[in-house]
Amino acid sequence: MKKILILITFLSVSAFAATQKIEINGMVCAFCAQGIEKSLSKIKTTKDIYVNLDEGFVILESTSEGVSEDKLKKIIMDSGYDVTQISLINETADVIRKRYEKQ
Amino acid sequence: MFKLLFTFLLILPSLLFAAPMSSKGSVNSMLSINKIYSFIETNYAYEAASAIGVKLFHLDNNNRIRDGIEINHIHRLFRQNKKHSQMNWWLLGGIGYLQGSNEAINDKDLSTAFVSPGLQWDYETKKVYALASHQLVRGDSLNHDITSLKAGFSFYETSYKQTQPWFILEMTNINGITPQIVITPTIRLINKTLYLEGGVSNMGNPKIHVMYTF
Repeated sequence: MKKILILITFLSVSAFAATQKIEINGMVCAFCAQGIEKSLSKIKTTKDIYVNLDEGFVILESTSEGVSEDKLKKIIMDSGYDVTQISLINETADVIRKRYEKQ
Repeated sequence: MFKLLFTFLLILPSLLFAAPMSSKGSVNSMLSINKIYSFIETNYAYEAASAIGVKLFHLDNNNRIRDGIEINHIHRLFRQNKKHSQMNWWLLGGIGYLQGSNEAINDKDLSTAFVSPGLQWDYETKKVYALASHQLVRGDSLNHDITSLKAGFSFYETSYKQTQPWFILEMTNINGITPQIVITPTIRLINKTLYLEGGVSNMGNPKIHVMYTF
């Protein structure tokens, strides 16, 4: 019974978790991009963040539903950059991180 | 008066060489150590495109000592973000006051106020960097133009968490003041919130610049 409850809890959390890919223009150096990471990390639901300078995107993994596009765009613009696209993806930030680190 | 102008203008390159500001809500602090000039500065980005800061400096070129304070404001007039580049126009401005002594003319009570409006353009990709800046210095018996150019390249591209090394060549001219164009080849290292620069000018003056964003 205990195992079933743990499984249900795990599945319900997974069902509400979201990973968003934010494609950003102008993010050309780590000194600049750290502002984005810092701002996103302040969101209460943030679980993990992965910044990819080469491809110009940030992966935001949340513990609940994804952050609204308007809020994300405001955060990125306040950091000095432009958002070109926001999309939901079916992978965790860590999986994506490891994939790019292998390259 | 010429000596006063000369020593005063020695402090100005910091206005041009510091990275202007970081993201909204960030505090940008920097320390620069030079043979004749050192300063500590911090600014706060109260808006996405505006920051206000304060700087304390100490100048000692063997003949005279200067201690000063400047309140400055930085405003980003325009930014163009592209997939692999960033271009900015910045409006710079400061007001300040300095005092000190000048042993060469036995003046131990030297002081002046100043304003320093300027314009800066910069362009950056992951591989190249360029900057052009022009700044006016206006105050009591002060009337000068300062032009600065920087250009450089990154030795190689890095990922977000790696340290990226750059080579930057700095050229500065203070019209009617500098005996020659000051050229300083520098090595720049960037690692997220930490920014380090070091170099030696063609006049033989070493320079170390450290910046950290909170």
